[in-house]
Amino acid sequence: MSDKRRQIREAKRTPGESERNARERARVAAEQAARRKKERRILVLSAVGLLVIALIVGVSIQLWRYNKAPEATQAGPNGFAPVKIEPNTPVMMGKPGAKVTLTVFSDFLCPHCQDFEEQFSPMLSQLQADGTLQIEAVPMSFIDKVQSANLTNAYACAVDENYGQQYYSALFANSQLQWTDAQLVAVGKQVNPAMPASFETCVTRKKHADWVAQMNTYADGKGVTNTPTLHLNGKDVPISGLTPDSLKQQILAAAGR
Amino acid sequence: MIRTPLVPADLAPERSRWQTVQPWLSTLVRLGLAAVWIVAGALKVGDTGQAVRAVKAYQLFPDQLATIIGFGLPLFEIALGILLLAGLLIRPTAIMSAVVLVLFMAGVASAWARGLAIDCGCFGGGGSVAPDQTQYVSELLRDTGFLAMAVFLVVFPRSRISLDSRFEQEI
Repeated sequence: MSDKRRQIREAKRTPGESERNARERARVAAEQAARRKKERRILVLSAVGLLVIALIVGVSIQLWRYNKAPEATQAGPNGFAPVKIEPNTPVMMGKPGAKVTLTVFSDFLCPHCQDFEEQFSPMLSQLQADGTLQIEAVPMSFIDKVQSANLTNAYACAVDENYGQQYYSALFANSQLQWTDAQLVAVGKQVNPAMPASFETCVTRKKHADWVAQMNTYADGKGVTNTPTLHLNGKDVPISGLTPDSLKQQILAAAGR
Repeated sequence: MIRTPLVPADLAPERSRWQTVQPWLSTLVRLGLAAVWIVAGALKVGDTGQAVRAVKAYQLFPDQLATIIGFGLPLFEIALGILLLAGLLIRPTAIMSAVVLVLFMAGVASAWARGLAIDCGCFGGGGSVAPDQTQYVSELLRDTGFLAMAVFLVVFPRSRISLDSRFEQEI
């Protein structure tokens, strides 16, 4: 306030003081500008600093999520018919005698396959459980040829142990992972705590590498270039606009219900 | 919010109209670009494995570097988006956006030139696709549009409803 009082006092004095007044005003304006500039610098520095810290913390969190242990979505036996991995033959997942077969061409690393699995698997597994449907899995390896192949091989190993379906869902449910062999083995222990040691050697030694390659050839032979692709009793089901309900209707119709 | 125009009234009316419109146009472009960055980052940030695979699919970086880029890039995009949304450091952020977009386009173009068949992974997804499923042209056109927005902001960063504008008035 002393500034203002001084200004008033100065204003009362004789002429010649108006220029001094102007100088004073300019000084006040300059001070104000300097204060603004300082405020802005503080704001910019703290915002940028905050973002850099957030970036570092974020990358650390991502690193942890990439390397952490997988989580199983369903565990324990499912009562499906046991299957053996046979050359050139996809895997059947369902109860023996199910009338309808839905062939699912997918890649464990394909984003749309993950979406499909998330949206459709509750409906599909219900139809598998009541004996209406079996799913014929044709896992392909093209998104990341090495890694997709590792995942498909591990899936085949889980099929050997009769935990194919659980392992299949768990692979899709943990797509944020790096998928080291250790993580692939860990998923096996998640779906079946009593998973035998043969599973681990099967995963690490890529026991089913031939079958993995054959699945690609099999899909090529069926003219499949896109994943996911669905064949209902051998006939292509257009995927665009498909909902769990509309697919369920088609499956029930095919089952004669 | 609306402040007195910065332009003296005796300027030509065309110029003054542009001076009135430009800050609002910049605001629109800024918020649009902010949305692009935030959406692009948010769609990728959840799925770390996917993000890393999308980067690896370009076959441009060693695995370790691709992993860090896969983690960092979505977060960096969100950071750019937040700065644009707040309207802080508009010009530097716009320059950075333009640089990053040019790098993206170079990456997509190089994948195309090398005959790779990949999804750009720009808004999630990524990885290899069937050769007839590539969308390089539309991906590049889309990025060109975003680049145009960024360049507009580099040239005309002054914009309404921004933190930057709170400081420019009094100086």
